[in-house]
Amino acid sequence: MKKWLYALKLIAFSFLSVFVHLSVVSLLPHPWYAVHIALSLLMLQIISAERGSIVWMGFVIGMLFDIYSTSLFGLHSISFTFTALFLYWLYKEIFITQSLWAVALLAMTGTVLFRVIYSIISFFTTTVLWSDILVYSIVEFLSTVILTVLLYLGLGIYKHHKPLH
Amino acid sequence: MNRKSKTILSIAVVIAMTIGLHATGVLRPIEETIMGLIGRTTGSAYGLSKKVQAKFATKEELALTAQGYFEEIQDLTFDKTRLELLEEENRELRQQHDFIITNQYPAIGADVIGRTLDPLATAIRINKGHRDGVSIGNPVMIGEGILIGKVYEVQKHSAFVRLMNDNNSSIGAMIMNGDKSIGVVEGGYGLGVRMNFIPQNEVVTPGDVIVTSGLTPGMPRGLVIGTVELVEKQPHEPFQQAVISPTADFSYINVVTVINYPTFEDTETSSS
Repeated sequence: MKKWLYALKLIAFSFLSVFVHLSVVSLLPHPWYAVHIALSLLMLQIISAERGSIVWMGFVIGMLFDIYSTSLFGLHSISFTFTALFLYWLYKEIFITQSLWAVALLAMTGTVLFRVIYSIISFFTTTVLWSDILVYSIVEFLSTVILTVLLYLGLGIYKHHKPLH
Repeated sequence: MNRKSKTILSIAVVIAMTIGLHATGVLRPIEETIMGLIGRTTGSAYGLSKKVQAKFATKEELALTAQGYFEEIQDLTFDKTRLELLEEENRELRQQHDFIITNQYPAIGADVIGRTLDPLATAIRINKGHRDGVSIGNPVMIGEGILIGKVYEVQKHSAFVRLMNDNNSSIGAMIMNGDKSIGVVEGGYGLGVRMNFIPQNEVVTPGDVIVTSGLTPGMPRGLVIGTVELVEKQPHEPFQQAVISPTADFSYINVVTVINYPTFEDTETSSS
């Protein structure tokens, strides 16, 4: 029962992440609409939940993006899922401290990883204007990292995890 | 196979299955439901975003509009300049036309297309030649009968006009004073115009208007040359000189009229 409830909670949080992302992004002006709120929330969930099953949240978020977007189906699912998987491994094995720097580094790695996986798949499937993607990616990287760090501070997750000095 | 590899494999299988189900259309009802749900939720956010963006976009739009206006101003400035030039040309042509109609002179309109390359000469080139009826010695005027010079070389479709301030220019002239003094207007290397051979005893005053005397072959009487600026008089000399301020601005000549005035030989030939 607990597992089912947890699964429902994951799905609900995935939907919420996507709704928030789509709503807020449409409000933001150029170039700030590049901020990846859903990715940022996923990364914070990885830090707070500390469970491997959080990777499936990445899969659900990715699938919702695939349904909503007009790009190749599976592009977001693959990118989100594998980003979540690698980030979880990184968090468990390298960024084991819950310090602000670790969160920032995790956010940087996650954003870069997501965009790299996305770009590699796009390269083989569609025509890409690399100059446009580069500019977009830079703005996305900066804004997502800053947002993740700010949310981490703001949501008080840090209080629940004492830093290991 | 280690645990990580199993994890990656299982994830890959699930993703592949999802893509397969999507491609076959099995997931379509679920996708449509989810799309409707997302659409309803984000619809109001999108409407709000339009209102918010209107405030952000206004600045962008203003900047774009300002840029557009700036470009339009540049275009309009160019058009305005062209219009002013055309108006001036029109005014000039009307003046010349009125003068010709009034005086019944046979005239040929021409555009100035260049200046002579000779550094010592002050001459302009016009786009009418002997095919158009231009002849050597024809007077050339601007405005309402303002003389600028004479044709001295004619080609098929163009001609050279020696300006009054050229050192080789020589035109019979008359001062519009009480004595109607006559003399010869000569140029000086493009620097000035003088009237020479004015009888010593005749009274010439600065400001007196100078016109063509009609004594030069092919040059009608009454074309305006300029005004007296300075009188030079030497008691022992038989003639006095006057420095003339030409009415025409030789540095800016655009459109001219060549007067095909009959010479004495022409009238003799026609009468015989």
